[in-house]
Amino acid sequence: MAQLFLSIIIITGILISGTSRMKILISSFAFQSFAIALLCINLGFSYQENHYYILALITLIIKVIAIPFIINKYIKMLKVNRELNLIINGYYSFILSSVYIIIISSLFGRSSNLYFQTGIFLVLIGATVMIGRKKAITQMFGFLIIENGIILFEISAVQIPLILEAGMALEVLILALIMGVIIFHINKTFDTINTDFLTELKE
Amino acid sequence: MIIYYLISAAAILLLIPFIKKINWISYMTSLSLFILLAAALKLYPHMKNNVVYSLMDGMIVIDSLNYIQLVLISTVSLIVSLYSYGYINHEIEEKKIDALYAKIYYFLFNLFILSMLLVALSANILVMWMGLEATTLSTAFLIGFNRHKLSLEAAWKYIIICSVGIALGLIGIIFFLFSIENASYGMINWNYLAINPDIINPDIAKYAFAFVFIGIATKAGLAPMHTWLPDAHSESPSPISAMMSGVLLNLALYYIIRFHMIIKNVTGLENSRQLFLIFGFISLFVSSFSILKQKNYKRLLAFSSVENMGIVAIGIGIGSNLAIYGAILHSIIHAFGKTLLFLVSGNILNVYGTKRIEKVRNLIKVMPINTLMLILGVLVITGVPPFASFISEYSILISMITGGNYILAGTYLLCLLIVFAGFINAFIRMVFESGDIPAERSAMDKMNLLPLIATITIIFYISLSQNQINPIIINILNLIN
Repeated sequence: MAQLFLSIIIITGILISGTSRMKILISSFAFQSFAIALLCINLGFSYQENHYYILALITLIIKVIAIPFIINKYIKMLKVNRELNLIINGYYSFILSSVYIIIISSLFGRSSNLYFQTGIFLVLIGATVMIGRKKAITQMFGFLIIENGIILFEISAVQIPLILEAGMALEVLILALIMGVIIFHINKTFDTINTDFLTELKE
Repeated sequence: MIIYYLISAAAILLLIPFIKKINWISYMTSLSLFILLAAALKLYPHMKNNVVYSLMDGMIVIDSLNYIQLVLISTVSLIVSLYSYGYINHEIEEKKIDALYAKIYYFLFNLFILSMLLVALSANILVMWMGLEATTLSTAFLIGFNRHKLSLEAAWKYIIICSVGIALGLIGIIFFLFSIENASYGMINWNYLAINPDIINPDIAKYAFAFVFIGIATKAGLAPMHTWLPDAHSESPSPISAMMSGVLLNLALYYIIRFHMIIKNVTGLENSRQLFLIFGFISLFVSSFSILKQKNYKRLLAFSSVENMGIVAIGIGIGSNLAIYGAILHSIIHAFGKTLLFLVSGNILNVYGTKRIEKVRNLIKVMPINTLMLILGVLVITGVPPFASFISEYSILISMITGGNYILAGTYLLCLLIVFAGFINAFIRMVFESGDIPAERSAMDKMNLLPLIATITIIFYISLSQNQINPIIINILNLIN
């Protein structure tokens, strides 16, 4: 069961790395977070611990409902549908993500901890999205995917007290909000959210 | 006593939306910080006797190392809150901001101090991480406070680079949790881990420390992860620059030092301090050459922060008693010196309306009092005797020479010399060269002087009578070595 969810997470990760449509980006992010929530429920079921159920609930509320809702609003406000002129285009992103999978499975293939490997994959995908895109809002997505990867690390490591888990999830939510506010102001002053225009500070 | 501060700060955060007068908010902020300072000073006799103070079932643990951070946070925040009173009022008079933005400023300012306290006082490494992340969240909007092109760019850079850095730090911490056998919540306190190194698996802890170092050093402004720092510090409002440069960088470095204190006891990882040495030297080198070619005085001060963090890291990296003494003393004196300089630069910015060095001329005629403070601040930061920064930089140099690292000592001296030249070159011209600006004394010279005088008094106090600070630093030496 867990392997099914992990493979869903990996497939959505690959999809996110390649697509340039905002709608697909948001829905695959929500779907990925949903898979993580199901994974937590699955873990809670097999270990018989309530801890994981609450973690699933937090993920569900913040990452499946709240953040996609907020980003949808931003996108409507900013009127961006898709991203043109990617630094790393879809074709190369797919190849890169397959290279990541090969590297990860050859380096960590012996340790049977699949959560850990998927987590590393998501962190790398997030970094690729951050580097390879120009729009501020997609860079924010990159960060959110890195955060998802970290969640996978977390549930495979020790049990962190719930209050800390909730705090971390809340911080991600606030971060998304603050990034959104800054993107809004950037759009207002620069008339674009393309980070190519943010080049006045140098030396 | 600290509890009183926490209650009052929480009350302020809740009350801010309902208070009409901005002045009242700033009085309350200053008053609450005064309580915090009193609480910190009240702990001094305990800290002098090397008592480890623990509150709330060990959730808060205070020893000499984070006592220094507590004192720095409370003093610098109090000074900056006094300065903010005049600063915000002036901005409102000039119609740059409205009452709503003033309220947002004070809200985030209080939140910033609270999250810094969370890092400084908490014993749990995960809670400390959350505090660091919260400082990023609360300062991101403060950097973009002016909402023009440059400050928004700086804010975006800051939030992207720092949150990725902090995320890397979290990956490091989770690796670290992997390395502890049967880890549970109570075990990830630094005071427990530092005396029980046997439960840590050195193979994984090695990678964990590398991740934590790189991630959190992004926040501490060590080169080559410093790229957000000059932008953020030069574009944010001057009081916030002072807070970030004086306290936040120190605090991030404090977090790495805590990790180092855990890791160095693990067998096989005794040489973890080499990382401090390497990154310290890269920072010193990069920033000293960057200072030479700066055209913006706030950017110059920001690069100087990178340089000073580099010096502190070098001191920790050398690791002899004298070097660590120098590092701790340097972090203290740098906090106050940089606060003074950033606050003065805020006053200069108010009068001249520009950050370009070549457009600020004849400062000695236009604002003589501020110029005096500026020159004193430059002398403090470049390490001229009799200020304590001279003692700290000198003791780091001596410990390099006695350790036989002549090449390192030579590079270190060269970089310090370049920094001195860069500072003098920029600021002497600002002060004495006469340009097209009419040499009339500005009426704004007398504004906002109290915080500056308070800072310079503290600097002289630290420099001339070290009886108060030395016992604390000696306790820290015993902790680290």
